[in-house]
Amino acid sequence: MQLFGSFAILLALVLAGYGVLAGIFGLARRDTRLIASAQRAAMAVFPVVTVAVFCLVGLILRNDFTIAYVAEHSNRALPFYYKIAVLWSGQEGSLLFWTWLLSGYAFIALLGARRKARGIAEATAPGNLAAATAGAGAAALAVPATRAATDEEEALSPRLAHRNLMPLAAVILGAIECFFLLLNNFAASPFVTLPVATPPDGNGLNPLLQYAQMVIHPPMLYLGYVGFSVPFAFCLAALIKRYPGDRWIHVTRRWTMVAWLFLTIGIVLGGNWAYRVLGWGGYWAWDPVENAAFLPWLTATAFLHSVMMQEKRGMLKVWNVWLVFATFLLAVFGDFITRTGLVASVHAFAQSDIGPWFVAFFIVALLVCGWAYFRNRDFLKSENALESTVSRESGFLFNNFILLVITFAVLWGTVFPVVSEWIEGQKIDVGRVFFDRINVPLFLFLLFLTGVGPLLAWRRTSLNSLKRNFTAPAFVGVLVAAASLLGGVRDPYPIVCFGLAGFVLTTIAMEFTRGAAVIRRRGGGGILGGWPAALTQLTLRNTRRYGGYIVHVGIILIAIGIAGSGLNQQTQGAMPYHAQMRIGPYTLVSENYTQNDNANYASNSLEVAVERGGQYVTTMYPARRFYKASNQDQSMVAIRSTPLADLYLVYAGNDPNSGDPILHAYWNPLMVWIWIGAVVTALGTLLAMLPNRRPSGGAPGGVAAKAAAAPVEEVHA
Amino acid sequence: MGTGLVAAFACVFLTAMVAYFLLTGGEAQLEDSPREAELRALRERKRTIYDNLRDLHFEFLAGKLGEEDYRRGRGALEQEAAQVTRKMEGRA
Amino acid sequence: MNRFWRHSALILLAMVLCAGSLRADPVADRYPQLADRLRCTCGCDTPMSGECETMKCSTRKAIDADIVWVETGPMRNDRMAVKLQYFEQKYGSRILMAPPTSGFGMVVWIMPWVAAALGLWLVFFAIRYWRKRALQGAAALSGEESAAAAPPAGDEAALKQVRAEMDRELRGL
Repeated sequence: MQLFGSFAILLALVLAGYGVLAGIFGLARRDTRLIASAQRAAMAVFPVVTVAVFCLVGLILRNDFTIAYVAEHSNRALPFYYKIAVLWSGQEGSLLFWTWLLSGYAFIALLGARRKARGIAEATAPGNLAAATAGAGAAALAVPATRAATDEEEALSPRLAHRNLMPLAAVILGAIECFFLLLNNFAASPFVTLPVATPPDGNGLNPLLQYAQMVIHPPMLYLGYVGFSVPFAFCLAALIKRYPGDRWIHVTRRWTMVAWLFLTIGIVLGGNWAYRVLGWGGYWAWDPVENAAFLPWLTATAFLHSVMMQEKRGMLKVWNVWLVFATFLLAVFGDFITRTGLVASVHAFAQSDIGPWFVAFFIVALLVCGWAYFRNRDFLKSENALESTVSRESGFLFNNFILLVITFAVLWGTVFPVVSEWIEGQKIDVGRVFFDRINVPLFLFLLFLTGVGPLLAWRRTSLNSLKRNFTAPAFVGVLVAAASLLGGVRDPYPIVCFGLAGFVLTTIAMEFTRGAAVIRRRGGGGILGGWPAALTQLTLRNTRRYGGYIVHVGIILIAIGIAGSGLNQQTQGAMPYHAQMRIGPYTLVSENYTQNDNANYASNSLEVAVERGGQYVTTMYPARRFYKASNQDQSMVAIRSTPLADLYLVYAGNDPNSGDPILHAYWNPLMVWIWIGAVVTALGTLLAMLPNRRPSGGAPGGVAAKAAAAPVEEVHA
Repeated sequence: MGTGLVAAFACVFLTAMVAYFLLTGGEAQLEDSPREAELRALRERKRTIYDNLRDLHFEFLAGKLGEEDYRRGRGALEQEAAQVTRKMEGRA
Repeated sequence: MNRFWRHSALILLAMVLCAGSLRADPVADRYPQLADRLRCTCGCDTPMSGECETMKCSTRKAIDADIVWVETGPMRNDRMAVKLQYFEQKYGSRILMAPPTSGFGMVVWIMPWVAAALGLWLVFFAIRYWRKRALQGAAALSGEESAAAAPPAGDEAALKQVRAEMDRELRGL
C-alpha cells in the first residue's frame, strides 16, 4: 500500500506536468486534440491523488507503524473517526490532503466546463438562440425580444466564459498542482518508512485535535484556502487572454463565493473549537495561524464587494484583479507560515525545511501575476466615471479601503516579530492588545458602512433620498446605544457596536419590507398574498442582493456576540465538596469529584450544580483528561449556553497542597450569537449563490409586469 | 515478495487506466472568433445596463429613490445603452 | 506628647501595611498598572492582572515576585517604560501584553495608520480622478451640443431605440 501510494503521487505529478506542458503547446498552436488531452490529464490527477489518499488512510487504519507519518500521528487505541483526521493532522498528510482538494476543485471545474460546452452546443444549435449568440446581423444588436431568450443568453454568457477560459485556467491550476505534488513527492512524502525498528504503538493524535469540530474544521479551512486557486486561475486566464466583456468576473466571483463560504465556516469552526477545547474562555487570540486564515478572508470579502463595481459599472477592474491575486497569494502565504514555523504559533505544524519551496513558489506566482498585469493592463481600463461622491460607488471604495487597512494591520502585526528580529536583532512580540486596539475601531467603521452602503443609490444620491433612507435607522441606532448605556454597559466600544447593529439591522429590515411591499402592492406574494410569500418572492428574484443582506445580518449577529465579550466575568477557586462560587447571576456548588480510566486516557471530573436565585438550574461536568499515548493533558470544558450568556466551566487542576479540584468559571454574555451569526452567514451565502428566479415572463398579470408597468411613463415623460 | 507483486500490478493497472483515459478523448472546442466575442461582450454590457435599469426602477417603486434621482439615473443608463448600441452597430 | 503620637501613628501605619501584606492581596490588585501590561508566559496568554487557568503554571509566581520587587525596590520610582524594559530583558518580548510604544516597537503601532492615511489618500485620489472624468465627459457633451444644436441623427436614433427598448423591458419584467 505504501508502494502503491508513493507511485500514485508520482504518477499524479507526471500527469499534472503533462497537463501544463500539453496545455501550453496546445493553446499556442491552437491544437484542439492536444488541449483536450491536457484537460483530460488535469482531470485524471484527482482520481490518482485519491488513490494515494486512500492508501495513506488505509495505512493509518491498519496501524502500520513502519510508516513514519502513521507512527508519529496515530496510535492503536485511537477511535476510527479520529484516525481519519490523522490524514490532515501532520505536515506530510495535510499537504497530501491539500493536493487532493486542489485536484478535486480542478476536476469539478473541468467537469463543469465539459458539461457547459455540451450545454452551449445544444443552446446555440440552429433554431435555439441562433440570433442572440452566433449571428452578427441586426437581430443580434437588439436586446432579445422575448424574456425566455434573454434569460437563456444571460445564463449562457458566464457558461461561455467558463468554457472559453478553462483550457488556460486548467494550465494554471495544473501548475499549482505541480508545486504541491513536488512537495508530496520530494520534500514531505507521507509514505516514508521509519529508519528505525517499528514501534509497538504510535505517538498518537494530539489530544487538542480529538474533538468533533477538529474533524470538520481543517477540511473546511483547507477547502477555503485551496478554493481560492480556482478564481485565481480564471482571473489570470482572463487577463492573459484579454477575454472580452465582464462575464469572466462573474465566473471568478462565483468560485470566490464557494471558497469564501468554506473559509468562513472553517474560521468559525476553528473559533468554536478554541472556545470549547482550549479552555481559556475565548475564541480568537490573533494567533499567527488564525491570522493566516483571516487574511485571505479579508481580501476575498473586499473582492466580493468591489466586484459589483465592475459588474454594474465596469469600474475597479485593476483593483479587482489584484484583489483576486492577493487573496490567492495570501492563502499561499498563510500555508507557508503555518507549515514552516516562520512565526511561532500554538497551531503551527512542527518546524520543517519546506520553507524555501514555498518562498520560490510565492515569488514565481507573484512574478507571473506582475507579468500578466503589466502586459495586459490596458485591457483593464475603467469604462465609467463617478458622477457623485455621495453614491454607492463611494461606499464600496470606503468598504474596500477599510478591509484593506485591516488586512495590512493584521499582516503587519503577524510578521512584525520576524521583521523586528531581522532589523533590530531582537524579536518584538505582538499580541492581542495591538490587534484589538488597531482593528476594533476599523471594524466598527466597517459595520457603519454595512448599513450605509445599501442605502446609497448607484451614481448619485440626493439629500432628499438620504433623509428618506437614513432617518429611521439612525434613530433606532441611537435608541439602541442609549438603551445599552442605561442597561449598564460602560465600555464605549460595545455601546457603539450595539448602536451600529441596531442601525444596520433596521436598514436591512427596511430593504426587505420595502421590496416586499412593492410585490404585495402589485398583487404578488402568491396565492397566500401575505408578507412571507412576498418576502420569499423578493429574495428569489435577486438572490445575490438579498442573500447578501442575510450575510450582513449574520455578520451583525457575530459583531453583537463579539461586543458581548466586553461584559465578560471570570473567577477561580478551589472547590472541595459543597464549596460554593458566584459568577454572573449563578451560584456554583461542588457536588462530586470522580476519576475514570480507559485505554486512551485517564480523567478527573467535577460535578457542579448550577443555581440561580436559589433555584436549581442544571448540573455541569468540567473534566481534565490525561492522554496516555501522547503523554499530554487536556481540559474538557463544560458550557451552558443561553441566548443571553454562556456559563463556561474549566477544571483547572488540583490544589497542590490540599488536592482539592480548582474550578475556573467564566460568564460570557451574548456568546451564542457568534455561532448563530455564522450559521446565518453561511445560509445567506448559499442563497446568494442560487440563480435568480425571474418572475413569470411578460405574461399578462405577471407580478413584476404589473409592478413595473405603471409609473414608467409618468416619470420618463 | 507477494505484496511487492500486488503493488506492481496495481501500479501498472493504474497507469493503464490513466493512459486509456488520456488517449480516448475527443477534441476541445476553441472559443468564438474575436469579432464574435467582442460583439457578445457588447451584448452582455447592454444586458447589464438593462439589469441596472430594472434595479433602479425597483428601488424607485420601493420608495428608496426620489423622482429626481430616478430620472437622472435612468437618463444616464439611456446614454450608456445608446453608446453601446452605436458600438454594436459599428461592429456589425 | 507630640512625639508619642507621631511614633504611635507610624507604628499603626506600619502595622496596617504589615496586615495588608499579610492579607496577601494578589499582586495584580496591588500593582494593577504594571500587571495589566504584562502577560503570563506559561502559554495561557492571560495578563498578569487576570487569572491563569492552568495550575501547572510555573512562571506566574516568579513574575509576581518580580512585580513586587520592581514596585517596592530600587526601581519603584522609575518610569513605566523602564520597568517594562526590565521585564522584557528578563523574560523576552513575549511578556509584554502590547509592543512597546518607544524605540523600534513604535513602528508596529504607526504603520497601520500610515497605511490608512495612504489608503485614504488613494480613495480620494480615485474619487477625484473619476469625478474629473465625469465632468470632462459632461463638458464634452455640452460642447458638442453648442456646436450643433442637436446631437447627431445617429445618436438621437440610438437613444430613441434605447428608450423604447427600456420601456418594453420594464413592462415585460
